[in-house]
Amino acid sequence: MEAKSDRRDFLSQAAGGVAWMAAMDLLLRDRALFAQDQPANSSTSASAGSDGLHHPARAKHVIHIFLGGGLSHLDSFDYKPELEKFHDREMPESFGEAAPFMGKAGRLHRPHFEFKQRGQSGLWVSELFPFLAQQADELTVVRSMVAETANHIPGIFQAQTGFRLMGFPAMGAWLSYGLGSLSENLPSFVVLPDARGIPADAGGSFNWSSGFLPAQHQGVPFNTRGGAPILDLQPAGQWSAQVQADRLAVLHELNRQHLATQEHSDVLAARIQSYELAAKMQVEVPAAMEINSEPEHVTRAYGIDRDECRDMARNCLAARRLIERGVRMVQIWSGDGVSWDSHDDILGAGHRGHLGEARRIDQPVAALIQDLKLLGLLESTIVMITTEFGRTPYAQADAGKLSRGRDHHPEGFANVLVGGGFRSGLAFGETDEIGYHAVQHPVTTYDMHATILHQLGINHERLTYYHNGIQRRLTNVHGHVVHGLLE
Amino acid sequence: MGSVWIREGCPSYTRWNPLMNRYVARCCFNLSLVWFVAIVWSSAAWLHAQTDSIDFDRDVAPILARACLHCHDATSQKGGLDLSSKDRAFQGGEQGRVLMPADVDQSELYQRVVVDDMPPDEPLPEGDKEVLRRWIEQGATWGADPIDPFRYSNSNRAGYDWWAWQPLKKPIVPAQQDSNWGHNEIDALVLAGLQQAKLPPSPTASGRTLLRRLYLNLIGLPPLLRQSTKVNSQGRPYVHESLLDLELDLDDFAGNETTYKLVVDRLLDSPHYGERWARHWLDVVRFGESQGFERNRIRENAWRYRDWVISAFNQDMPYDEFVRQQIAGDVLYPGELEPLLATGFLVAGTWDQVGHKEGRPEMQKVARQDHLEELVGAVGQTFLGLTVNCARCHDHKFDPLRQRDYYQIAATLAGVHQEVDERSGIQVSVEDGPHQRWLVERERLHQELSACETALRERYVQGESTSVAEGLVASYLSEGAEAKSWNSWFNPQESVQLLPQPNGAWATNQPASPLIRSLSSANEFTVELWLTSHTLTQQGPARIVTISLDTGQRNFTLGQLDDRFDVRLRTTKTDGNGLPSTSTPPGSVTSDKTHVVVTFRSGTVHVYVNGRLAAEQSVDGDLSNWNDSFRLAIGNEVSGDRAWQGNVHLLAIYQRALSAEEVVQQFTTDSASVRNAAPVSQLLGQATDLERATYESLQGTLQRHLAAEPPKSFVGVAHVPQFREPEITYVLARGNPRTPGEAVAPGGLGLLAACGLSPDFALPNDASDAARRERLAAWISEAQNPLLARVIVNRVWHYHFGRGIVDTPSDFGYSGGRPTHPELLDFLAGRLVEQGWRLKDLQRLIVTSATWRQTSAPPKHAAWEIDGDNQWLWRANRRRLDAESVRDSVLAISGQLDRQLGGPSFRDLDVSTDGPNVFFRDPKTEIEPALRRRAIYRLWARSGSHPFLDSLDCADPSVSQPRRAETITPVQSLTLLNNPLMEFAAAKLIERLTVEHEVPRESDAKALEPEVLVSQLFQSILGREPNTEEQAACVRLATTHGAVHVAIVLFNTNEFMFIE
Repeated sequence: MEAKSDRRDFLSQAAGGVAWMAAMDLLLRDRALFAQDQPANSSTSASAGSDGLHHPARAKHVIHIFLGGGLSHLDSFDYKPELEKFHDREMPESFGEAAPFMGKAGRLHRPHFEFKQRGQSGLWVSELFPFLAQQADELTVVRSMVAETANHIPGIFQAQTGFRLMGFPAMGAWLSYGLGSLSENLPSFVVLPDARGIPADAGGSFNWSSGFLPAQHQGVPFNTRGGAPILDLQPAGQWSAQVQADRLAVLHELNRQHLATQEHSDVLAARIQSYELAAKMQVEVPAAMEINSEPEHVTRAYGIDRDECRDMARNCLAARRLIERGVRMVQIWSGDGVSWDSHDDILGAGHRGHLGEARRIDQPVAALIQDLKLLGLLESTIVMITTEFGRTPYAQADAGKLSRGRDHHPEGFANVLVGGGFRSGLAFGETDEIGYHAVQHPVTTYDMHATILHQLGINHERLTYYHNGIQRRLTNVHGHVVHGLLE
Repeated sequence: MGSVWIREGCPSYTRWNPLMNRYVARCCFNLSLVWFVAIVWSSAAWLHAQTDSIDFDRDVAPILARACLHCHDATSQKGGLDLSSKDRAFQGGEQGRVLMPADVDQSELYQRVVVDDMPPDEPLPEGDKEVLRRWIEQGATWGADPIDPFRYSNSNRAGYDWWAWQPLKKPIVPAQQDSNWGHNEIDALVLAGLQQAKLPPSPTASGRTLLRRLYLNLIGLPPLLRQSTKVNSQGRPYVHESLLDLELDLDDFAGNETTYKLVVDRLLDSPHYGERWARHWLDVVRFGESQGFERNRIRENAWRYRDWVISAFNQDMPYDEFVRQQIAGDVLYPGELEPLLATGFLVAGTWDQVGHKEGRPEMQKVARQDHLEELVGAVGQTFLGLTVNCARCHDHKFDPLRQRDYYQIAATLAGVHQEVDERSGIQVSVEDGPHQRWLVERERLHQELSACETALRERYVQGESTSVAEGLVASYLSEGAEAKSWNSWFNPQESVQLLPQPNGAWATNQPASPLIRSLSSANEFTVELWLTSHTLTQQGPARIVTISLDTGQRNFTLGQLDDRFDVRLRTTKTDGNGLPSTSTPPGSVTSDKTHVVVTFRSGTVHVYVNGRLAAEQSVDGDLSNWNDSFRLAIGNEVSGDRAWQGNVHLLAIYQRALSAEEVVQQFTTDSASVRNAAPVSQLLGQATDLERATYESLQGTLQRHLAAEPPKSFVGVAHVPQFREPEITYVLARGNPRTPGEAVAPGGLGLLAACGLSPDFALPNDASDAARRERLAAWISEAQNPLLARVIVNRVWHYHFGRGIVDTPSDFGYSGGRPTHPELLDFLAGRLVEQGWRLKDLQRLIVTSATWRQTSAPPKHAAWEIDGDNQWLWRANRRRLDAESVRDSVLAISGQLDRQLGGPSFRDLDVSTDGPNVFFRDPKTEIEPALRRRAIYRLWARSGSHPFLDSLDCADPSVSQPRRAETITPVQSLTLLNNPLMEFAAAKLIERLTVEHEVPRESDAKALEPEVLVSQLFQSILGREPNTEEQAACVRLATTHGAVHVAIVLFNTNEFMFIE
């Protein structure tokens, strides 16, 4: 109570004077883990350290590259030489029953790309990702992921929000709520959709929704198709900077007069400040997205000169620039939601073919990792490359036949983590000989979320928010930190 | 006050209860009060223990349940000890026996407790220890076996004794003491709390503040104020409020109870009230107009449920009935449309088409169970404030809800299904059903009567052709100054007379009911006049002819608005005031004698001036809701406060629409046919007995026919459930359809048994879908169900005050909030039930209370520090405008709000498809006319939220949202400054003010001075004049960059964005 009163007084006194900006900074950077006074129903438990975190953090930022549709672990990061042996055969019964999503279980199919051991770590990475392969010593591959559903949308929602149902806050929103922003001029959680469009086939904005958390924690999708990065960043009427400045001045004057007549008006003062921040955002957002200001050798390294990966290169570069400016989490979408869904042709070079999608992202993502490392940012930034489920070791074809496609498969697949205190060059967990079931150290989505939160200094069981009868958390009632992944 | 939920006669709260921790920490008053009560209770229980013999069930079981069973029950058995059943308790744990009857020294249980070794977290109070000692000494007799763990609340969970599901208690409302503060029982109960907390109530807010608060709270639109010509006794101007057409003295408003209550009544009667409160309801019931998930197909007809909700609120449907219809309307009223539409509630939530239809069978079963969980959740949270859905996989962790309870409710809903396509061809009655036949018969009777009348005219009227006079039902003629005549063609025996009024106007001496009924049933009419206006600057609009009650309620009015004619016509799709109106262009009214004709037919209003078409407008709806108790008046409003200066020479009313040719004929012949027409009564006087008998018999038949209108038929599509006969429901271990357990019959929840609501529905496992839902609807809406009333009263309170008496409106269980004013909650709930579940009555009580009328900004005093969160309601809460209110207000103020009610939703985003999937993106930047309706009428698709509304916390309807957040963010500020809507509204407002200012007086038709414009912008947007500094700053902005920026700035001010 005491702290609250003090701050309120400070705000109402400050709101008219020069100090109000600093004061508002306090308000807007409010975050659950650090707040002394909890709103009635949005409690988090008391914090451990003086910085408010539950334990010391290994990382501060997250860049999440999401490969919606289901990346085939068998053709990328989970090498199964046995599949060569079993190629064009029925799946032996010892591996369990084939239960394809689309109802067609063909014969087992060997990897569609050649696998090699890479770097000093000897991590297996296929030729699907030649550039990423060169960064193998930076990667932590989780080969024993398991998901709860073979259905895209519930799976994607779960990967983002922990829940298969819609309407729950995304991890980025939880981070914004728990940790606040490190930048006063940029949103805490930024989403960079694929230039081909927002991931509409995957539920669109649900994937960065703040759910029942306050709206300020919602992911802000930047426009990556040209034009202003944020909606309404500039006036519809295209008014000059002078006009905008003049009307802000009048607005401030009216609000200041109004404020002077009010008692205990921190919320009024906060609105006044929000206009100042909005004005800064008008400058800062385009600046952060100004890719052309990067040296040419950098942009070329990301592949901006190559048609097939230019869009992703821009997003990866933008992500680095946003992280540098204090954005807590950037989510980059590869594809329009389910572009990795190669039912027909893993080797397809176009949309919904693994080869085509991989060529769009391989060089930019590899460059991002290297760039972050060179800048010393990889230590404090977790790069996640994840997907909602993997693909079947058997072809999607009629019984007894082969094809170049594979069906949805949630019982064992791979995610990749980079930086942020993860053990690099590590292949963690195992699937069985044909990559069907995770058999060693299965890792659930809840475990993955719990572990990411852990690296950011958060105990996933203690970051909660009351909603409709329950103290909700990202990991529902599940989740264990996977210590084997950590340095 | 704060501790009243510690119920008398309830032994579970005989001490300080750690349940209250969270709540108490928020308010230091509670702390002391709770302690006070706790101490009193502790000693009472202790005394009780001293004097009587110990009863296990009454005295001991509650202590064990509260303090021990959490670790020592059949499932946990810490240390091998289970104290929940007799045998196991006496058997002891790993370290041997713990209970030795009559031997306290050898009873480990007591020994551990008395030294505070157990319970480990919190020692037992001395009174409880004493009870245990005496129980053992008296022989440790056991009672009910085993102890029901749900029976008592403890520090981890709620039991059957939890406050929320105890019967309603009628509190004693304190008599008004010392204070002259307060109007009603709410105030008495709130004041009692304030006095205990030593907090003074705040003074009443200003008239301007209260008016805005009332409008936004009750109808979600701001008052639209302009200066009036009227002045009050201090010579200060009245304001004209154009939304409800009221003249108001704002100086006097806060203190004038009559005016205040009049405004409240008008607002509650306004159709916009239903729109406002339906939106709240739709938030709670997670109403969305697309499926969600991957396919996210649009539900084209989900809006019918939205319209049903609006209409139910407008009609003030009793809440218990409102609930019943949403669960089982189709069963309760078979063959009727509206109750069927109500069941749209059951399918308003998300539905995973891929999961239900496209995956393998096992997956479909999971999807079905997930969907049922969503549905059970919606029913439990919406109506009962219970999270029943949490008990799908296991007994509820916090509330006394067993897994079996969940499946009993799930079984009642097991016949509810959704399909890929909306339910097609909903036929409530067949197309040529009773209503169609009724219409045909009505038409036939009209024609027959009309033929009969024509025959009479041909026979008994000499000379003039009478064709135009057909359908003439009333006329008024003024020949010179004196000779005024009034002929009504109706009911010759009961004459409705037109009489001069003291104010110089003419009005009927009684309701013009026959006239009104004839026009309403014909659903078309003509009003024809010859008139001369005396001045071209008349406002109001000044009433030339009107069929109305007062300035706010009418069937029809022709008025003069400066030099325009203005027609207000009420239909089933306009508001009760006949708005929006139809106006002729400026210059239509001149000082010459003028012929004016207004016709309505087939949804179109035509206005002809001197034989030429001057205005044409489509008006949706029909005349079936015309009020037949209104009077007809000429030259003024019936209530006498909209005088028109001019002469009406002739008024003729027809029960049909004259054609354009007939209008020209009437104009060119100076309406000779009307002047020559004789009333039917006169003709009948000359007619033969047979003719008279025929005519009167026909007339009687028509009257009886009109009174017997059957319900309308409906053939079309609505998004309502597909009801199928259910399969048997099984308890599913861990909620998994692969592991079914015992079969369950449809039933209710055990926790309401103490209120007399048996969970046993007496239905077999294979009962019909109809029987299941009918029983569920009856069970939920029982008058003894305390949750139904408490939850809705609290929701209503929440929307009026910004916070509920319980601050978790959909959760009254252990995880939810505790009531700040439990007696008030029970008082209001009890009153609601007694008064027939009428929400408007409850709301009238709330907004006329002194509590609600307090200022939000009392001067600095101790209360700000003591109760900064305003739990004790010592002031009003300042609230940020919600998303819809911002959008609707800005449109309304700019004069661009389309106030049409109901109908299909408009789309403010681009809708695209990608194969079978639908998605929504790119908000429209053109504010095209279809987008100017109230926000409730937009397509509320999932994943289709509009960024403008989004930034103002209007979340996507994927989950129930019983409370909206009120955030403030830079993105929100950017939106409010830069969004095309704001620029559009600002420009339109300037345009309107300029035009309105310029039109009337040609002499000074120059550009509006910036000073005047700025002052009018303040008046329009903030409802007040600017002060000198504000005026100066805004005039400077207007002069440098244009007045549109002043309007944008004013829309962005805190004063606009908050309700004080």
